[in-house]
Amino acid sequence: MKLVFSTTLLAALLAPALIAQTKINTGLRGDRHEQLRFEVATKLRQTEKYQLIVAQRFFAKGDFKAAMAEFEKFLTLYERSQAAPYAQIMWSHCLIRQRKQNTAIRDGYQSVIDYWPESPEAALAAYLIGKTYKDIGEVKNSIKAFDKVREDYPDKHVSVLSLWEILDIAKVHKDEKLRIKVLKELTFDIKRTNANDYHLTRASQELAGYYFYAGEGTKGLEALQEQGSASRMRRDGGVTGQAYGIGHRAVSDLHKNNKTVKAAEKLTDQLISFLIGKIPEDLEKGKAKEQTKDLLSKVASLHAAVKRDKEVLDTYMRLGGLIGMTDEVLGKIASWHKTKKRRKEARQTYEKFSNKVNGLANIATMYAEDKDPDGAKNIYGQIIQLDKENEPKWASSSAKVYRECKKAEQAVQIYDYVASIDPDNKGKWLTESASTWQEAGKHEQAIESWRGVITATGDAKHYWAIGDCYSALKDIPKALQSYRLSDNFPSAYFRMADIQRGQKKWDEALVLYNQARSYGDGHAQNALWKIGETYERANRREQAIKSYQSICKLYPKSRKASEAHAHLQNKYKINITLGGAKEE
Amino acid sequence: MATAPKNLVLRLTQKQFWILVGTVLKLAALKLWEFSSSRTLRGWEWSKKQVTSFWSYLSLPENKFLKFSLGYAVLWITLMWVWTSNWISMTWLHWTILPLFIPGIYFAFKWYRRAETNQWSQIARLRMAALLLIPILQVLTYVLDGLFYEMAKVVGATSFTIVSLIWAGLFCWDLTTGSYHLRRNLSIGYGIAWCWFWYLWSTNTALFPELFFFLFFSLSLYLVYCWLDMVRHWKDDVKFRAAASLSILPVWQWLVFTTHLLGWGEARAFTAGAGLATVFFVGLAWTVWYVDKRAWELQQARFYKAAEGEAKVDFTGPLSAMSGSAAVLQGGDDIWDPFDLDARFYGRGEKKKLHQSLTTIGSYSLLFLLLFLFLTSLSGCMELYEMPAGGGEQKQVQQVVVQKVIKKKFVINPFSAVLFNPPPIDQVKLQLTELTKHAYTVGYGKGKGAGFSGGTNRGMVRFIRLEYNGGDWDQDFGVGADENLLIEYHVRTSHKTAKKTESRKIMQLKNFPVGKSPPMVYMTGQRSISVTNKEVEILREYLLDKQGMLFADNGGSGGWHGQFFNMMKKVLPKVRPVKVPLDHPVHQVPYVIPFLPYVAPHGGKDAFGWVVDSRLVAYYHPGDIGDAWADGHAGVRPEIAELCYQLGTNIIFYAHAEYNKWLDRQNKKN
Repeated sequence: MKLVFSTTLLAALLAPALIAQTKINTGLRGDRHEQLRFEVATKLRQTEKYQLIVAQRFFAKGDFKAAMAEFEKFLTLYERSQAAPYAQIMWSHCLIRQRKQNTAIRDGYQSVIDYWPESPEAALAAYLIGKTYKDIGEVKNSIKAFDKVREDYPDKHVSVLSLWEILDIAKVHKDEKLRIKVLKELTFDIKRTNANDYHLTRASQELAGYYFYAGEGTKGLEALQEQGSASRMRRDGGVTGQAYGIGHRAVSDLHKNNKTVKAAEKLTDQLISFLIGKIPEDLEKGKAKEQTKDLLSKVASLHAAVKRDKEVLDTYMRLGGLIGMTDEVLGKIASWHKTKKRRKEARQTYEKFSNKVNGLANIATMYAEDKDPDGAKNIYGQIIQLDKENEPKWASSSAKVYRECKKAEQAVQIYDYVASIDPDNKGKWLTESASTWQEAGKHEQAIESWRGVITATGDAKHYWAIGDCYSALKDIPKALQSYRLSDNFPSAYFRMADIQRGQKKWDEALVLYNQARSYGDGHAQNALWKIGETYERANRREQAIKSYQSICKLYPKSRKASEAHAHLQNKYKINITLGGAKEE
Repeated sequence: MATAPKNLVLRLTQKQFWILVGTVLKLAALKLWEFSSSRTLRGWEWSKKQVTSFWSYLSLPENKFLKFSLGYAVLWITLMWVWTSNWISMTWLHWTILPLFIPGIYFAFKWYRRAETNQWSQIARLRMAALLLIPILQVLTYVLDGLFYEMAKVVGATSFTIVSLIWAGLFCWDLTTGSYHLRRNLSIGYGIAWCWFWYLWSTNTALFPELFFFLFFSLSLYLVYCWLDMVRHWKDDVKFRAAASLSILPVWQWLVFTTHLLGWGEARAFTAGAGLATVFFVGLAWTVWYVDKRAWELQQARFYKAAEGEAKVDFTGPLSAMSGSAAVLQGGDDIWDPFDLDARFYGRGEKKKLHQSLTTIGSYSLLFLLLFLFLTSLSGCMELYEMPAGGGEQKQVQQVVVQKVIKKKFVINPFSAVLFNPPPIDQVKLQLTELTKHAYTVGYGKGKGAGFSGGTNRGMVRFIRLEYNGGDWDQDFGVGADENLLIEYHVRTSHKTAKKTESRKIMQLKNFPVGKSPPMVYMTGQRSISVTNKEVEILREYLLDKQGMLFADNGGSGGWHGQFFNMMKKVLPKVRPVKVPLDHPVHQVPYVIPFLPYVAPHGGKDAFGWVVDSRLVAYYHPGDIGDAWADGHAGVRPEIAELCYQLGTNIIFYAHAEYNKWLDRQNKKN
């Protein structure tokens, strides 16, 4: 009872402040540099809050000039307010958004430091000075500013952010020495907080990568372990996950180069020894078996990266010994055999599966990979004997193999059979049959099949495929008729017009393109462009120019307008405006 | 077919081949020795004799004044060099040097008096008068330069034109009426001057105005005509053909120069290429003719000698003689002369003639190539860019309010029945007009007039466009297009500018030395950009070591945007492009650009920059600013076109001002 009462009281006290802050921050984009501190919001007077809300609304709307004026008004009226440094920061943000970064640094952020040096916003402003310099390419000034932040505010989060920015500069400038220095500092020297958890974890991962590529596995693992308890690291799969992920990339890359093969071998051994050390002793406890499976799979993968065939198989055998030779473990062994092109051993391993259907399905897949549809069909037949319920699924898989092997007739035969035994999905299987015919270039049969699909499903969209078949057969009138029946507009208009244009029937094509124009701006631009092209091909220069000019005039901000502008300039030497710039 | 390379290798390693190489080297060394030991020595002796006799002539008591005059002429030329090179930037030094020019007028008058007294011929006196005009007009220009710079420029140019025209006239007169020796001497003198002026022009040294060059080079056409006309009457085909062949050089050069002057880029390129091909083939024809003639002479001599029983030869039949030797010397293995068909390296077979012809063509082509490379490295290696001399401040244009009071006239009828009270003067409304103008001189550093302290009197702001492969680099190039910007730049800044915009290949940027390279080059297009690794290196060197700036303008496609950014990634891999702030000096000085003006946003609406050591080394405009400079301004509103001119002016000025700052720093360091 007491707890409920005290919680309610606290909530009642904090509510106005929360509302104030929420209102003030309404519409902002979630950038922490644009948020008012909670403790300041609680202490603001109503008039101050109101003024800030007005300014923030303009800011959220993107009217930065007005927002700037409102923040300036706040500063004039409430110079001594606790939110004054915040208003000054926001005033500077307005300038940044108006692309006046130099003024923002000089008159905005610097003023926060000069007038409110003790406020938390001063540290933020100092960091933002460096960041803004970096954003406008003033690298030297930027590093100077970041160094000053680290000197003046060593315990603040901005100090870590500054280091993070310096790290980015070092990467761009390919300054390896500085990069490693900063990475070490971030990984080992800074106390972790919720705010810097992300930065420190990422730094440790990057440093580990550096060491792994240098063949120094122990140092890399040390770097990862330093941030092992960070929440970000846990989310990224923990130290073992990262050691494996980063290490596997490094091992693979190092093993490609003859000069670094030895380093790759050494790193593999270090990583494997680290991973094996993490295997739980008591496998019956909690998720110990899962962990063991995961760790030994990673070990096998590392062995595979350096092409240690025997060790990979030994690891899987060890895994089987520890957690039992399950289908999963057998699957991994079979996959490895497949990788090493030992297909016979792979098949034998799949045969050992306790789930016979899955094992046979894998064997069938292998026949498909070997382009042996008859072999696959035989296996699928065995599966159907064991799993009669899913006959359509296995039979269609068999048909798919025939289809992939360009044996359309056998595939269609099976699809038709499947359609007969699975009436609920008849449309789907008939569609597969029709597509198979079409892929094989047998358009007459495809047209017949598609008609069957339309009868079964009643869906007119399949007329499009019939149109494609007639197009391939050069039966233009029937193709046009089919496209029209497909009810797929405006695409059908474009397709029909393209065909007419190909037949040099300019006027018919133009009518169809013009019909496509009524389907919204996006299609209208394309249609106008096509109209222009058609006029050009018909040697009607004047009309072609007019079409391209229409694109520029009607849709000046679009990509097509830019293309039309360039086309007019290149081909016709005509300069046309796209409206030009406006003050924003 | 597979044996062909093997055969070639075998042939190349044959003894005969190495004998040929050895012979060529031996002959070359012998010729060089002969030349240096006899001709050079003789030339040196002759020159020494001439100088000694000329000095003795000058030392005669009656030639004392001539000696003084020549001595003063040397000093005068040196001072002229100093003055035109803009080394005299301090006013007091300018006036201190003035007395040194004054004696020129004294010498001029004195010489004219002597001509009068000695009753020189009318034409000689006219020549003397033309010569004497130079020091007088020079002093006038020099004085004006110290007082009214603009007027000095006009007077200087006018006097220069007058003197040049008079001398051109006299030159033509002498060529037409002079004796053969006079023509020859004039031609030699003109030839030397032609080479020098050609060098000055090809290295873009703006010591003389282009019109002067045109006048001077045009004289070569008259010279060619006179020579051809004269040689025609000698009835000697060989000499006539030789004269005609030699005439190709000045005519070719004149055509290239004139097409360049007129701004016909394509015609210039065609003329240059066609001329080079013509020279090559004419030279080849002469070489083949000479080798053939010489070989025939040697064969003929041997034949007759053998016929007279002086030498032991084996005569060959007429068919064999067509492709080989007519009379083979017995035991002729020792013949080394490459003109001789029986030289040992042409072999013993029937293809001696073919071997000699192939050797001739190969050697000629190689020599031509080497000579071409040598000459282009001489002229093309050096090109100078000099900024206009002057000074000024890197400041914004100011908005100045000019108060203009319009006085109202009140016409009052003193007998009017209406009582009229004219308003008190304080209540008369002032009509205010706002004007934008420079409240300072646009430029950088200390110096006379608008310009740059690191510039020279002959320097000028030039607009150089980059030629690159793969695209339409010449979009909106020349008259009525980017030339408009150059004109506007001159109007807005009063800086001396080039008359025409120019273009250079990326590789040609290498020709500009450090400290005299263009502060900015322009690049545009809308197709693709294809640059080689070498070009990337040259661009990097230009931007970083030579402190240049690249102004890129997307002429019409999103593709070009990507292409340019990719190119820059190669050129400056360690620099990340950034959006250029609107309050960056490039957007603020001399004109404040409130927002980025564009014709069409092909690559977005933001200008990007590549910044190195706080300096913009590349500026990318996404929206076809070049179109707005062109006639018609691509249909954009007048205020946008005006902003585009202002932005163009700002960028050119920024590049030059930054370049000047760097020059200052370098000077301080040194």
